Amino acid sequence: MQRILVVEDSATMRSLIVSTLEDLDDLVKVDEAESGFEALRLLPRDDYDLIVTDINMPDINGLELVSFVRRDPKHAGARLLIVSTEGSDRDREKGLELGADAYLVKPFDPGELARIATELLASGSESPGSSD
Amino acid sequence: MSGDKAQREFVSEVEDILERMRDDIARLAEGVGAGAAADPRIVNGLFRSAHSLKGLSGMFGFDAMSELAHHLEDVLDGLRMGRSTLDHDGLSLFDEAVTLISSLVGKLDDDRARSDAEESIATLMERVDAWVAGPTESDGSRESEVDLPAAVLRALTEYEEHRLHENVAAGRNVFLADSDFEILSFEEGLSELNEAIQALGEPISTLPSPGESPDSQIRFSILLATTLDRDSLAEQLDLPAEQLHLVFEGEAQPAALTDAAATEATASEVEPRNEQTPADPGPGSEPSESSLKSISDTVRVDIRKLDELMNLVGELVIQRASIRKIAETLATEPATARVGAELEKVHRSLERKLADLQASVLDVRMVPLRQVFDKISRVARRLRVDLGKEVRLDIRGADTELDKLIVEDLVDPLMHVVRNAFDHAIEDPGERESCGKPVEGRVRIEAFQRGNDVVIQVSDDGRGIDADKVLERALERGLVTEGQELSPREILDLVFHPGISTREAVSTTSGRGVGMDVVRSNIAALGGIVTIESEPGRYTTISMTLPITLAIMQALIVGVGSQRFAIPLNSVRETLLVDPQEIQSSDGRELLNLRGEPLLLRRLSREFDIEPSDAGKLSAVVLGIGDSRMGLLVERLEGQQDAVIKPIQGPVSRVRGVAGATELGEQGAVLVLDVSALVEDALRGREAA
Amino acid sequence: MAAASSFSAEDPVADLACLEAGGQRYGVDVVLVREIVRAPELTPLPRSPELVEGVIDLRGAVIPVVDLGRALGSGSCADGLHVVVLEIDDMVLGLRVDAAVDVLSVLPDSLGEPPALTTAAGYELVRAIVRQPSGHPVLALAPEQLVERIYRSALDREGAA
Repeated sequence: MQRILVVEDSATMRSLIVSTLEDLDDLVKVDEAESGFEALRLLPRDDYDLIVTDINMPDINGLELVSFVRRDPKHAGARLLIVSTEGSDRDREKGLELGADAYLVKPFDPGELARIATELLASGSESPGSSD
Repeated sequence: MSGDKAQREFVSEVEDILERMRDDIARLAEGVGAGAAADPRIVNGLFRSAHSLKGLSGMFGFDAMSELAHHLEDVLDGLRMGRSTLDHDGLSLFDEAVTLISSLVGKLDDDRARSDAEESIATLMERVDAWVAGPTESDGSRESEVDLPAAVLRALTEYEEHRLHENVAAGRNVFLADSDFEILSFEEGLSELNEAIQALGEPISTLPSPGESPDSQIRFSILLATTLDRDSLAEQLDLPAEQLHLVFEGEAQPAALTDAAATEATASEVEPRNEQTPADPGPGSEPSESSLKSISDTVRVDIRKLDELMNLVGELVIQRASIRKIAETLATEPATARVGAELEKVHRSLERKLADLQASVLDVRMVPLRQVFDKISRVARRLRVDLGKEVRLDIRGADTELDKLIVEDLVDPLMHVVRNAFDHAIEDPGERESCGKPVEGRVRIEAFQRGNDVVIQVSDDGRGIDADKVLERALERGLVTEGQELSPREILDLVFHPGISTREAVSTTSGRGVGMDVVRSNIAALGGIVTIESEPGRYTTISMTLPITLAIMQALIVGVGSQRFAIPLNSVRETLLVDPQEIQSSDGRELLNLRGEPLLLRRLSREFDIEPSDAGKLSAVVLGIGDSRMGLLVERLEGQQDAVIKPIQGPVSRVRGVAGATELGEQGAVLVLDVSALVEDALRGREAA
Repeated sequence: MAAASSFSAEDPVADLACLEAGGQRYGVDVVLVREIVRAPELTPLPRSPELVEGVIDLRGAVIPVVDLGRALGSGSCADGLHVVVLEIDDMVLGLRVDAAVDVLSVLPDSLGEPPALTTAAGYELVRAIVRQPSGHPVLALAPEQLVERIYRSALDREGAA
């Protein structure tokens, strides 16, 4: 059972992303957070295989969340996917620099999201120290 | 997610964003009108709105809208980065853009209207571009003399970097303030800290990192700019000075500050002017002449907010009841009689207003049963195929409304009942023919309102319930004893007992029945009751009676010993004072003669093992389910109250006889009785556990 | 990965919320603690397992409460100050304690086998003993066992009924 956390403040976008992920072939459990703060509260409770986050969010932005996750050894096995509007190239570079594994640009085709998510989940299970 | 639903959510969210933008534009207009610089927080807010709009509309393929939003976003980005200045022309362009998008969102399905609008969009975009080409301001020095750890710098967005450099250029001190919080409760503490910082300077960015003990703590490092020095800042924020790291030392500033001055210092100067925004902006410019009517007729509300609202109303109702008691007390004392009478008058008026408020709030929570029925229709279609039976499903009263929360909890039990009807009640086509019934079986779901309740009936023209089989099974299980006299109704009620599966009850040899006891307790948790009517070989009708709203129901409060309980008023037929002498005993049961008929009695103290107070007067609460009656003996009748029933959480959620709990003022939780269970147990002569 | 609530000497560090009940000190994995409140009025719940003292109203939610001291065979916490609200896999349960003291970070070498407690009741609920260099040892609890026990006795009651 793969566990995914989706962090996105727009309810509509979040619904879209969550339903796309729930339809993946793998057996997945998808948790939702509508803000960075909520994500911070959810993170200690579970080992996530994949964390999908937006960048532009009100309290802490996605880059800060990525940085936080990467600094916590508990989440070493988690894959990070940033989903964001291509407003800023610098933000994109920074995201990857801070340790995100992939960067998906809005607007995106749900099929593309599914493909990337599947790849990330597959690569996660092969690396040592990841969750079962 | 279905296309329709997604589109509706999209429209709703877009409208929310546009609403925010209108507000922000109006606030900016007030500021600009008063001759001040644009508040960067509002500009950033607008930027984020345009950014969200762009992404959302792009996702749904509304390219023209997305492009317009993109242009707006670029302009706003320039504004927030200090590359351009805001003026009235810019503001009216934003206004027009918002109006245009708003009208576009109302015409999503009208292709021709859309292409018309797209022309207007193209024109507007040209004007926006023209406006941007106006005077620009250089960004200022981007050299960083700032002493920040690389990890922190990297996690800043472009905008946060900009704010940092703005403050550096303005010669302010920049600090990194560390503070640890418990994960369970950080939001409150953090927002307090942020507010404190806002009064003293500008919070630029909030960075989380794992705390001392990562499972329970989290550290937030706030990058902030201020004119204060380290010690003053530490004092004002109530943080140890060691937790404040100086990242950039600005020009020496006088440490003295007043609240007003500090607040103004945070509004960044896009133009080199030091105008202070007046604390109370005067009448700002009028928002542009767009129609204020929302396109979609609905407002999207988080059900949790409705719950909060409902709780508040519930509490108001309880307070009102307290006021009435006080008024009564005052009115009966000669010294305060006049005041008491006045208070009673006011209270009556309050009661009316409150009832109106309650009705309005409840109205907001109401949703039609249609959504549940639709779901059931879909399942029914599958069932027909899976079971190979011909069954017609009639649905009536889909417009009947119920509290949204009830409706959500209704789906499962209703589905059980319908499935049972399809699976066990309706016979195979062959069998039906040989019975002389039409080959097509009929299941009907009907919902209607009756007084303060909503009734949902599921009827089928199938096998009916075989009372003999039920009785047999009940004897096997020891639920009834040999020779015990049971009315047909009481036999049917046995179907609800765990241990009698519906399968047995409908005398079929295939499949497994679904627990009607679960259905009954689910409905009881909602404050409702379930009854069955059936004729073997002909029909079965299951009726679920639910209060229209879960939120507030009328309850009778009774007391036994030191405890109190709440009884849903809709199951109470009457109450009587009882003289213990009048109670007759027969066969181990207690009875009362009520207008010539024997009324079965049960003592609440014995039901729940409560120490009764010394034998004084008793009262009987006559409970009725369908045609069955029983009298519940209690010691005190404490009046009627509006009550909100809540389920008991955790591993003891199913206690027989208890439907849930409610809170009454400050006295904590009061258990709500499950009338069906009590009546059932009484009729079957079960001894209290 | 093991469930967040269990720990053994192999795991690096766990955080325990320290509770005092019946004169003893107990610890519960902080991850399971949803919040700690001042003990509100307790309403007795009839026909429920022995362990369940009653229910409390927590901001509108009705939650069952267990007297931790009694559950473990030490003194009762009927006058206790706090109720520790646990959330174990979506299951919410309150523990009434004399006091909730602080949070303790546990180092692996301070863990030991729990002592043989005289009451059979307590034994299966205590997972390990945490030795403190200065001060009382803390008995680390396994709250899931408590939930199990309550479930089982609730089922027994239903079956017997």
